Amino acid sequence: MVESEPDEKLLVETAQRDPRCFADLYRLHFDRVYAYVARRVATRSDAQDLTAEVFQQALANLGRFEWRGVPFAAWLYRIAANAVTDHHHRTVRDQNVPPNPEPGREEHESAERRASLYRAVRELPADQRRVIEMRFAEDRSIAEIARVLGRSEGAVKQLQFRALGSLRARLDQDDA
Amino acid sequence: MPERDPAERLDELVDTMLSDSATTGDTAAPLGDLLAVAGELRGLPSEEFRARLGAELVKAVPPTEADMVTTTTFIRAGLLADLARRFSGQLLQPGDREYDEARRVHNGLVDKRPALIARCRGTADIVEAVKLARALRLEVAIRGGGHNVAGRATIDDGLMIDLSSMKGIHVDPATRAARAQGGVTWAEYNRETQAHGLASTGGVISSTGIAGLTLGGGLGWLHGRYGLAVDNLLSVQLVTADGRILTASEREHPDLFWGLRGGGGNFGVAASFAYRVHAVGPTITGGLVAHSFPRARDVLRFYRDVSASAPDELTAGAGLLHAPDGSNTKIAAIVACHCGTLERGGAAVGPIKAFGPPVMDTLRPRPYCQMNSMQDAVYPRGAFNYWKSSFLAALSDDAIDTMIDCYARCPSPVSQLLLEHLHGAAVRVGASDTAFPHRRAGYNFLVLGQWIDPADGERCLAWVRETFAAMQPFMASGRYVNYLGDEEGGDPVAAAYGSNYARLQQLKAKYDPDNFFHMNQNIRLAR
Repeated sequence: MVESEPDEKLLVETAQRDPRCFADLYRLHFDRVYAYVARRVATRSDAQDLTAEVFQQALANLGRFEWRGVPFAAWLYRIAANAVTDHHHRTVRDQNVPPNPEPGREEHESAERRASLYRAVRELPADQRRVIEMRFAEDRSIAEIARVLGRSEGAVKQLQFRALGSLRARLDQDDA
Repeated sequence: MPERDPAERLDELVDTMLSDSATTGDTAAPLGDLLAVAGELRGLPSEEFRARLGAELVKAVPPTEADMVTTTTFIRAGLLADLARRFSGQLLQPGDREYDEARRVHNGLVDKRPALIARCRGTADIVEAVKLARALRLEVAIRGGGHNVAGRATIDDGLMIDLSSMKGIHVDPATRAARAQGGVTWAEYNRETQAHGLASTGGVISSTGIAGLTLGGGLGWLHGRYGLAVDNLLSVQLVTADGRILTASEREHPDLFWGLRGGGGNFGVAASFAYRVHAVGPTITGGLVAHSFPRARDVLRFYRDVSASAPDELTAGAGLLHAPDGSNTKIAAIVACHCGTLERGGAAVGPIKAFGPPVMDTLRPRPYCQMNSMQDAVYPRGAFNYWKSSFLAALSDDAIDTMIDCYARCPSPVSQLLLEHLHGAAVRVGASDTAFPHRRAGYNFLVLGQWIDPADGERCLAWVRETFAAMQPFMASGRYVNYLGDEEGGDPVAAAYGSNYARLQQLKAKYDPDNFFHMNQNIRLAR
């Protein structure tokens, strides 16, 4: 379920008056857009390109967004779904890829859950956070991380283990 | 990214978890749950990407009038958080506890509010700050000691790169060299070098930063013997407008090294300076002699004679000021420093002590560090300052009389008229050997407008302007850029550099073609 963020209407209206205030909306919605897109494309680089495209389109079309009781996030998901479809049309030989259906509640919830996980990573203690980022965002091996951080591989594995435990607890909390 | 083969990528993770839970006995989190979390984390966006995209979106928005809102908004938008993760110093924004203290500079007239203060701890922080300013299209001001009288150390709505936490100093007595970071003040530098009985030319007010004073030339008590601060420079480590770290010396980037010796902050952020140091003191001969104001004409004429024939080791200034005892009495004073042996010092200052005799005489052997801080109290932080200065064509009798007439009308007991004598080693360097072009023996004249009560502002500003105008007939074309204000007509910077200006413009075009560093005595790009 996509919840409307507090004061979101105000943020949107402010950004419509002064597009540079779009930064607040970007900060608020980056994780969910990335989470949604990343599961639907093959590579990290595609995920980044499409996330950029979604926000560029949103910024360019911000003036057309109207409040009709639909959260801003739903509008972004719609742009993201179209961007993913266009991407597949561009990259897949079979041009008969069916258009991405309107993202449903289940897809929203899945993206929201992952976005919440991304936010939780940022709230980890610094050493755990660094290990998780290097492991999963930078795709580095345990040995590489150990070398960069000047720690033993065992210590890095422990940090990763603890971090995953905290993140799992956080997800449980969210679910509850 | 779509699931491919979770087992393949998480093999190592399983192994780790099993072994760790076996050794620690921690079975709180079922392995399957942790694996699921790990699976969800695959494709975690990198912070670097999040920040970069944020910056690109900023650039995509055309500027409007709501600059301040925009700036602070985007800083909030994660770019700052990204920088904060790597930054080893402090990042201060309006509302932060230390912000108001950090934005203050020496001159109380300057009251600016940067959007962000990046208080750097090292060169890497400076690089990051420069890159952030570029990404956010923020104007930049650089603060070393914060003494620039025109307030160029700070900026409204921009980024203040604050070096005041960069205090590293290393003195190597064996090679007679000292390296100091850009936030060091002369008090700190002198203390460390004097611990080895060494010194190089520095400012006469010890709370002045080494960076600003050096980059503009650097007159000081030792310049007669050892040349200006720039004449003692061995190298400068500089962060350029594109975020590169360059070392400029006679061997590396010698063109840039030429420009840094007098060219001000035009070419980058000076992270550190290496100076040649000399055996000085620690006890030298120095101090002030004061005479009653009615004798000012005789005193200044005597000063002209004694300074013109002074040995290199004796550097002397003269001034019309008020007695420091709070009596509101105007006086004429000579301040002198002899950096040679006490025997030679005693002989050299003998005539100065004997002249008059003075009503006050503090000219005696004293620690060099004390010499450099003895006037600090006269220039308190937060006082209002408005200065104008110019080299004089000659210190004629008429010039002296005009000074005295003007000072008789001085409305503030803490304002002064000062003469600084350029001589000795400082004028044996060729005018084009460094960017600092003033290499003829003579006097720099400074109207030092200073007041404590804001209500005195208008009167003091008017007095400074009137005095400067009255002294115009005696002025040479050269100006010392470190005293240059912002409200001058024409192109005073071009006039200040004279024949060196064209070469400085070429360097500006090479090292800062966008004029990214413009809160300074700005060298304008040639058209």
